[in-house]
Amino acid sequence: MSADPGNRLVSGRALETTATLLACAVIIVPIYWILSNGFKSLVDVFALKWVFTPTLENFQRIFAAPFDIGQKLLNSAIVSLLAVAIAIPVATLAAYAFSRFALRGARALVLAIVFSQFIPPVVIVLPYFVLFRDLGLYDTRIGLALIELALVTPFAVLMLKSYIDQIPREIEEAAVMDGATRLRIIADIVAPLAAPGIITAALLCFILTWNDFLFALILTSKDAVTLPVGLAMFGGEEGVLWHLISAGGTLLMIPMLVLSIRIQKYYLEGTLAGANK
Amino acid sequence: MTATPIRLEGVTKSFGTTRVLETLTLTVNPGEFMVLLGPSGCGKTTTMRIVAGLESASSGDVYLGERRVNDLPARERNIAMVFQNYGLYPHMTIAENIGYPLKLRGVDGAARVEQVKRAADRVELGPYLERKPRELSGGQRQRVALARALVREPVAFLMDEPLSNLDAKLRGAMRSELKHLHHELGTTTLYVTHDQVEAMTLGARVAVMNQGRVMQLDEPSRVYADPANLFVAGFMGSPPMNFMRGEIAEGRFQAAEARIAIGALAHRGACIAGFRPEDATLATSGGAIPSRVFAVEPLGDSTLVTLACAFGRVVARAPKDARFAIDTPLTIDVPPNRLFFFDPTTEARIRS
Repeated sequence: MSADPGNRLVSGRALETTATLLACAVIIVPIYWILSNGFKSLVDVFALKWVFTPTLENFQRIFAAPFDIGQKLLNSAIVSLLAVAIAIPVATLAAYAFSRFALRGARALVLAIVFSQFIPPVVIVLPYFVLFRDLGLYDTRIGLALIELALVTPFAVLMLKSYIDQIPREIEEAAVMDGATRLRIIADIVAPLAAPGIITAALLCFILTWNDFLFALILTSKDAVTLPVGLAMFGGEEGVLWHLISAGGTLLMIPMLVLSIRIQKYYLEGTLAGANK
Repeated sequence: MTATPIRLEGVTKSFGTTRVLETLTLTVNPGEFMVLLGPSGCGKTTTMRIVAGLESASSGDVYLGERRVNDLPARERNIAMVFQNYGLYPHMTIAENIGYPLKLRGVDGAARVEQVKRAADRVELGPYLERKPRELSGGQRQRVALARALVREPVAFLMDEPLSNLDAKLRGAMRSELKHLHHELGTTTLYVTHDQVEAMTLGARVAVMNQGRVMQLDEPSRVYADPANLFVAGFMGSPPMNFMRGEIAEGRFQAAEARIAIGALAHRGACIAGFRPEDATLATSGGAIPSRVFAVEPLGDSTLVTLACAFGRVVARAPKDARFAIDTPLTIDVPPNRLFFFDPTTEARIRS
């Protein structure tokens, strides 16, 4: 006696589909809720309406005083781009060195980098606060970018090292024999071959910086406030302004949604095929 | 262009406490095609990498022409190298791959296009210039590596087992192309392989290496016909030379019940005698070495007969139509002038 295998396959597939849809719903519904609330009036938000008349009024309000979301958006963009623009070249060179040179104490250094990723940010944010206050970096975009840089660079180094480790040394040796200097090899051979990794690392670093709340909260107060911190300040005498927070949240999310689609593309793309044999 | 000699003088190389090269002295003559032949781990690739500058010698000197290059970085030696896995740049087109050495030398525009095209045509890659390496077959990729090596005029070619990733048929074809290319270009070439057929067919001279030493440096035919020691005798030839451990007394070599007449030889006592499969004659009786048939392998052009003797197994090459039943008693004869003798302790050839 045996069950129809085709039938069992179908019911298994149905179960799988249901579970997947459920998981998607858990993730997507809150995102949809925020996005839709951004276009609702406050009354509609509290009415939990699915059907509503969309309005851009929320966005007009958050860009105006006293919220000035435009300024915070600009701060977020500058801090994130600055951090990525410095972190990625530095991390690429560091990762190359870790991957290719027999450095004294390289293992200990890599370990230290890994360890740095496990330190709870809350532990180090207070010393930074004191340091920044004394150095005059408190509430500056440069200062915040420096901190974000220190946070994302180790992560980028680790990530890029694993990409560079996969590039066959023979390709580099071929370039040496062709007459290339070390820097030419990094620019002409290593960087293009590690490009999917470099782009992925850059996007992830941007996302980490863009989403950072804790450091931006503690190390800024007025001029350098970033978008996530700005949103948290939306509470007022009128209570929590959900419609405005949602509009700000939408602005915060849109670049992330675009980037996540790009990341997927590069993450899956391998350019090393055909290097050997 | 005048060809440049490569000279290694007293070169040693150690990795940590492991000695991989023992005081190597070797000269590749201008325009010569020299093959370094040996089993894996014999130091042949290390030797080549020291010439290339990818490794530095622990001691000793490397000369390109008259110039000592120990302290010259690899990229400034103007040596072209073909790697076992080709070392192509996967993100560049074939034209960009071939043109990369020119780009680094500041050759631009029409001149570069022209030279790339000429190099590509030379190895019949003309139609593939706009493709990427992954779109080509193994043999074509090998040609790209060759074209990239010859697009500039290097002082020497180094080739590190360039044919070992190709299938047997393609390997044969590429071998003859390499030989023709060398004839046309006349560039000094150092070629590393563990394949004795490549060594025999390509090399003007072959350096047989083992355990970091050159065991014999000679023309291929002489390495085969007149091996200097037990290692070379056993390494060259397929199937390899047969060896018998025994001793010499009263003008004969004795090993178990084998008694072989030998020529004039002053040596007495223990020794190892060897003969090549093609020098053995099989007979049903009356020969010097009694044996039984162990296996018969018809190859088409000849038949290999493995025979069990009291001292071990030997292989004889018999005519192509020879067939024997297993366990047939046969005797083996070897002409005295086809026997090689070696010292069992030093493994050196005993010639007198």
